[in-house]
Formats: sequence, structure tokens, C-alpha cells
Amino acid sequence: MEPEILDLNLVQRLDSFELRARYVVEGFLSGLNRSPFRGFSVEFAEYRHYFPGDPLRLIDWKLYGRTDRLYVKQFEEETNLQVHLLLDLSGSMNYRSRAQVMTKFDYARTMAASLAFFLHRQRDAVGLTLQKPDGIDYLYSRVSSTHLRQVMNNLEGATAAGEIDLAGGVQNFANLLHRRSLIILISDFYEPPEALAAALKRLRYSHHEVIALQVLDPAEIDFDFRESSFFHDLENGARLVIDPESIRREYQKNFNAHQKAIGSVMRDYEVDLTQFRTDAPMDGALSAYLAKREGSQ
Amino acid sequence: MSWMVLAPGFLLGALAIALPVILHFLRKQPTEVNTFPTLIFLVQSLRKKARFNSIRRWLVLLARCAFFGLLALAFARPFFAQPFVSSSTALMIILDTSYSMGAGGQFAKSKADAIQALQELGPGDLAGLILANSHPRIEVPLGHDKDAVERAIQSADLSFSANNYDGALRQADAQLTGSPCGTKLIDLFGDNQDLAWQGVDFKRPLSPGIQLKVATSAPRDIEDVAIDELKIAAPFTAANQKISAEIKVHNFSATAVQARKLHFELEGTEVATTDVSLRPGEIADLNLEFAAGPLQPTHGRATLDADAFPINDTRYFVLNPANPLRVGVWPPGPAGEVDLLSVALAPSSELATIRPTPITGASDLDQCDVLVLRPGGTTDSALSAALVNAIQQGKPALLFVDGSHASALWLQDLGFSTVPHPGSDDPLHLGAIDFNRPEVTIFAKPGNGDLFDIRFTNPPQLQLPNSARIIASFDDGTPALAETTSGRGALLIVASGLDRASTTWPLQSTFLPFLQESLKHLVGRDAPVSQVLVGDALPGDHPGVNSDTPGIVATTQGGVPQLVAVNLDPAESNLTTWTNQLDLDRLIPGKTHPAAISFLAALQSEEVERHQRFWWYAILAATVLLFLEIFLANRTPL
Repeated sequence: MEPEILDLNLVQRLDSFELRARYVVEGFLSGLNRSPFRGFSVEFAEYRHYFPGDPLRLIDWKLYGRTDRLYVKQFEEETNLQVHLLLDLSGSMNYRSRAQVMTKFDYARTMAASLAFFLHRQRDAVGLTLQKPDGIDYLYSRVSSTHLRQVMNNLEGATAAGEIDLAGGVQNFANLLHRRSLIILISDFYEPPEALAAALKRLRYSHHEVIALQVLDPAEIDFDFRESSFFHDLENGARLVIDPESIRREYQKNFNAHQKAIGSVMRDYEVDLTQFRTDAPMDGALSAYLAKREGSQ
Repeated sequence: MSWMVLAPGFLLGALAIALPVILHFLRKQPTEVNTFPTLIFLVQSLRKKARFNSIRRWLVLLARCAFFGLLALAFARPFFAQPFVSSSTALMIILDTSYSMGAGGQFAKSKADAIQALQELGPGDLAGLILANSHPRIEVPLGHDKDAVERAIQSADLSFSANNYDGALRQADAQLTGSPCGTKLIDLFGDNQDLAWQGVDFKRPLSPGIQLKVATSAPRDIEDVAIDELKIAAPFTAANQKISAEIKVHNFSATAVQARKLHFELEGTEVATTDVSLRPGEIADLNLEFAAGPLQPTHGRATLDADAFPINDTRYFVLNPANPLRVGVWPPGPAGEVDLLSVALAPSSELATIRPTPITGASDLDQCDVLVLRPGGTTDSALSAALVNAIQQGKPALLFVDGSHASALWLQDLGFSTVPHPGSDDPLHLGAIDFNRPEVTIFAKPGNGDLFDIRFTNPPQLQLPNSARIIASFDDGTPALAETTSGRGALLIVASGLDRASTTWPLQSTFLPFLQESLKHLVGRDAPVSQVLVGDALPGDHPGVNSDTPGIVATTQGGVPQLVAVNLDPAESNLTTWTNQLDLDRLIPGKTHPAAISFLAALQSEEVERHQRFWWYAILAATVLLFLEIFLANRTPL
């Protein structure tokens, strides 16, 4: 069987981010059975003494035979992977070209929800930080279902607007992390490469693993506008009259140079950068996460 | 110098420049708004492009404005006018070299006067020289080389032609029009002859600013008798050796002439002489007869004893033997009757150029230039066949055919036929005649005979091909006289016999000239030209000779060597001076009516504009700008 294609139209029609996430993850997992990513499961961390009420299936009988004491396998969340989703809420994420069904922000939110859902299913602790113009909205990482719902609620309630300071936000965010974590940055990365470098430097300084998921609309890449028109900047509200035909080549040149610079910064700090077009399935984000997780073990 | 335009109204068209300007400043702003994540990549590009596009937009505006401006300018027809700011003088000298200037030492006097006028010029002045005769030419163009002008005046010779000042004046005008000098002067040195001014178009004055100075010539009180005309009355043929010359001698002077001797020479030998006495202005018609020599091209001249104006005292003539037309007639005339055709063709003083040639056998055909065939005669099949063959090989023929069997056979052999004429036996007359045809064109003139009077009885009805040209038709519409061909031979067919029962034509006065004109036309022979005036085109082939001087010139006309006499234009002998000062005033712009001056200025402006053709360059530049605008506008955003 061929892997099912993720229907973005369907995803967009789902009001609940949890449902969106479930849909994405289920689709991903059904494809994964035929993929090389195999053998992961909730991981064993340590043993602890058995207390009455603990499930008997968790008792390690072999250890009991050797030590004559009852121990159960510990799967406490503190011992699982700490994953933090850092979502860019700048105005530029609110862009959707005419041919697309989702804004970059919707796409990123759905991607974040899917990751959270998938992490929860993996029993990994997931946290969510929303980076807003006025600072960050930090939600610590937990494994519980209650926490997952909180993550989903936060995603549903988020709006993208204005300009953000990625470097400053990451700095604040890093100060809040006390454990080595896997940080998934979801953004369009319209940041100056040097600011991005400063942010990544801070994260890598604390020995965090970082995955960067760049969300772009196809129109940003191709710049296939035809008619002269006003172009309205979603971040700062600036407005310019632009003849796309005359400026397309220059735009693409600048855009590609920026992409190249971003890629270079990412490589410098050993960050895996994956680019997503909003007209393509987002389950690649899960693949990127799994690849990173495998590499970190 | 300043710019001017011929049609200033078109400059209003330049207001159209406002159109692109308005469009430029009110150009449509885009209404569509595209949100975009960030303009940082666009701003970087725009910074580079903005200035470039701004320049382009201004260039487009400039191109559009210039396009409309140039278009308006082109239609307004601009030109670069030359103001008369210089204090220098431009002098065009016209020196009359017509042969009348030879009378009374006028030419030498005019040359001296011209040199004096030249020497009065200042160092910065310009001068030029035109030699005026029937073919005026610029001997020295207007320039600073006054020595060249003086040398040309000194070396100028009299011509043998008459004069017309108009051509010389227009050439001088054209030379001076382009001159920047403040004073532009035409100085005409001539004998002020009436004849020379008669051809001047006084309705067309000289260009504004040009002054004309004419040296007034006092009437020359000299004896001036000239031979106006010398005409040989009859053709020079073997049968006509006694030549008659008609001579007109004209006394142009104001005094009577007594017993002036006129000598008549033939090949350098005086053959006759007479005395001429004339009152003032009288023209004497003299008639001299002399015996011509052998029948060959011969020349001679008539000369008066020299007077004070000797150049017109001689007139040349030539005697070119007439080449008679050999006309073969067949069959011979009917026995016992008067042969009207032979009578018409018989040699006489008037018809000396036609020589009837009897045909007795096929060998005689080669001796004939043209054939006249008529009905009747004995049947000679060999001769008939030879005649048909000769016609079809190119021998032209005049055919008279009636309703007889013999005529029918003739026509059948030549490829035609006849049928009996329908209708009664009532006589027919000609109903329609194409008088444009050379055979009958002389009858178009009243008094030369009436072809409509001819009566025809029972003429045959000709059956002719469509290519035949009908010259005359009977009053019932059937062909009476037609021109056609048989093989290579030209045929003129008359639908009538020549006997009295068939027609009254041979008895009428129109028959003889019709015969003569028809036969000459069939053979294609025109009378050779025997005399021309100085400067006229010579007839025929005349390698290495021209008609610039009076005398005898050898030519070849129609393959036959001929002599041609070249004589002076007798009108130039009349030395009467021109006295109409009013006409002269009309010619000088400064003395014309202000409205006329304005008109002339406009004419001159038109001429200058036409010469400069700036409108064309403006159109060209506008076209280039149009392409530039298209190129830039398609590559420049709003």
C-alpha cells in the first residue's frame, strides 16, 4: 500500500488541534509501519521499590529472582525526552497565498500539535513556548494528557502578529530550561542570520539539541505575482508599490541568499533544518523529530 | 539666422504634449493589495531599482512629449531662415552673349561695363557670372574669386543663338537666394533686346531682397538688313532640275536701304544675284531660279553685302535629292478607257515624289516600294502568286476591290473575303471616317475636300479579321476603307473598284491627295528635314556634329545621307530695345505690392523649407522616439 497523502484541506477543516494532530500522527504512523523507523517504544529509565497498587505487570520478576525484592520498572516522565516546541508567532507567519489552504501559522500550529500529540504518545515530555512580540509564553514540558490538552489549548488560542525578537526570546526561553532538552523551532526564520546565530549559540551552550522547521508559503519561494500592486508587510505594516515582473529576479536572489545564510548558521550550530512548504504534507516534521531522536540516543 | 515655420497653426498640436504629462502624473496606481510576509527582500531590490525606474519613467515621459512635439513641428514645416545681416554684396553678372550683341560693338561695351561693376566690389563681396543666350549657363558660380569672374568675362565669346533672359535671371536668383550677403544684386549687361525680355515670366518675381540692375542700351542706329527666310519651293528630283528659291529679306533699320546686292551661291559658285531696295521695316519676298547640278546632296547660301550687323546677312540652304516612291500598278488600265489611276499617279511638279512603275512580270516587283492593285486585268496565275507572295513577304499594298470574281480571288489569296453588299442598288456614301488616321487626316481640315461626297455603287462587303482597323465606313455601317496585314505586308483595302460605274472618287479632288498620303503612309516615309535653327536638335544620325554654329551639317536620315542647313534664329536680328519699365518693376520684389511681397516671401520660405526638409528629419526622430517609448514603457513599471 502506498502511504496516505495528508489532506491539508481536511486538516484545515478540523477545528480541534487535537483532532488535527491525531489525524496527522495516525497518517504518519500508518506510513511508518513500512518505513525504516522501527523499534522505538516508551523507554525504561530505572527501578523503584514496588508499592501496593502498582500494576503487577510492571514488576521485574527476573530481578525479584536475583534479589528477592520487588521492583517495578520506572517510566517516570522526568526520565523521558524533554521536548520543547518553540513556535514563532510573528506577523509574517500569518501569510497565505491565494493558492494555499493554510496560513503558515496554521500550518506551523498544526505541525506543533502533531508533534505534541506524537510526543505524548511516545511518553515524551512536551512543552510549548509561543514567541510573541511582547515576549514568550512558556509552558513547561510534561507527559500527562492534561498537559497535552493544555498544549493544544495554547495552540488554539495563539495568534500571530507583529515583529518578534527571536534572539531575545530564545535567550529568555533558554533561561527557563533546566534540563537538557530537544528544542524544535518552528518559524519562517525571517531573522537576520546573526540574530539567529546568537539564539542558536545560546541553546547549544546549554547542550540542547535543536531541530529547525522552516515553514514557507510557495509564493515566498517562487514569487509568482504578475500585476503591479501594493505589497503589505505583515510584520511592520509597511506598504510598497511593486512591479513583480521587474523585481522577481532580484527578490529570488535576495531570498536565496538569505536561505543560504540561514542554512549556514544552522550547520555551524549543528542544527537540522527542514523546510516545509504549506502546500506539502507536514508529517515530515515527525520524521525529522524521529531522526533526531534516533541520533541523540 | 532663425527658425521659422510655414504652417504655425500646426504648432498648436504641441499642446498634445500635455497628454503624456497628465497621464504621467495621474498615472493609475495599483488598487490590488497583496499581503506579504516581509518586504525585506523586496526593499533591498527596490532600492536598486527605484532610481533606475524613476529615470526610465522620466525618459518615457520625455520620449512621449518629444514625440508629440516633433510631430507638431514636422507638420508645421520648420526651416532655418537666413536673415540679411551681412553688409557684404553678392553680385551675379549676367552677360548677354546672343548674336545680336555683335551689332554696333555692344558686346565689347557690355564686357567692359561688367568688368567695371566687378571691380567696384569690396574685398568681402561675392561675385558670379552667367552667360545668357538661348541656353544660359553659370560660367562662374557665386563666390569670392572675382578674378575668375573677370577672366571669364574677358574670354567670353558671342554665341550664334537668340536670347531669353528668363533662364539666366532664374539661375542668378537661385545663386543669390542661398547667399548670406546683405545686398544681393543681379547686374544684367546686354542689349536690352525686346526679344530677350518677351520670354520672361513677369508674374514670377525674383526672390525678396534681390535687386535687379539692367544696363539700359541706347537704340542702335545702324543699318540692319537680314535674310529672314530661304525656302526651296519644289523637290529636287531628276525631273526637276530647275530650282526655285523663295527669300525673305527684312530691313530692321530705321533707314531705307538702296540696291543692296544679294548673292546666291551653289557649292561655292555664284549662280544668281539681284539687288534689293527696302524701306524701313519692309520685308521683301524675292524669288530666284537657278539650275541645280547633278542629283546629289547639294548646299548653297544666300548672302547680302555686309552691313553694320553682318552676322545675319547669310542664310544657308541644302538640296537633298527627293527619293521618289516607286509605285507598282497592276493590272494595267483598261483598254479604251481613261485610266484615272494612272492619271493620278502620273509625274507632275506636285507629285514628283511618286514614280509609277509598270509591272509586266514578277521580276518587276523588286523595283517597287509599294503596290497598287485594282480589279480586272488578265489572269496570270504566276504573276498573281508572285504578287501575293511579295505582299506576304512585307511589300505594302493598296487594294481596290469590287464585287468581281477577280477581286474575290485576290482577297482569298491574301486571307480575306467579300460578300455581295446587302440592300438595293442605291448609291452609298461614307458615313463615318476616322480622321485621326494619317491616310485621311488631311481631309479633317476644311477646304481640303469632302470625302462624304464620294458616291459608291454596289460596293462589296468586306469580311475582315478583328485585328483590321476600319478607317472609314459606308453610311450603312459596312467597312469602306480598312487597314490590315497579310503575312508581313501592310494592306490598305478600299471596298470599291475604280471604274466610273463603281465610284465617283477618281474624278474628285480628294482622290489624288488620298493616294499620295496613303502610299507614303504604307511605305512609312516622311519628308527629310533640310534645315534647323542654331541650337535645335539635328535630325537623324549626325556623329560628331552639332547645330551650335550656322552652316551645313551632314546627317543620315532614314538611312539616306542628307545635308542639313543650320541658320540663325531670324527673330534675333530685330534689335528693337525693350522699354516696358512697368514689367521690370513687377520683376523686382522691392517694387511690388506689399501683398505680393508677402506672397513672394511665402514662396521663398516654401522653397527654402522644401530644400531643407527638416520636417522629414522631425518625422524620422519622432518615429525613433516612438520605438524608444515602446521599448522603455514595456520595461518600466508604473
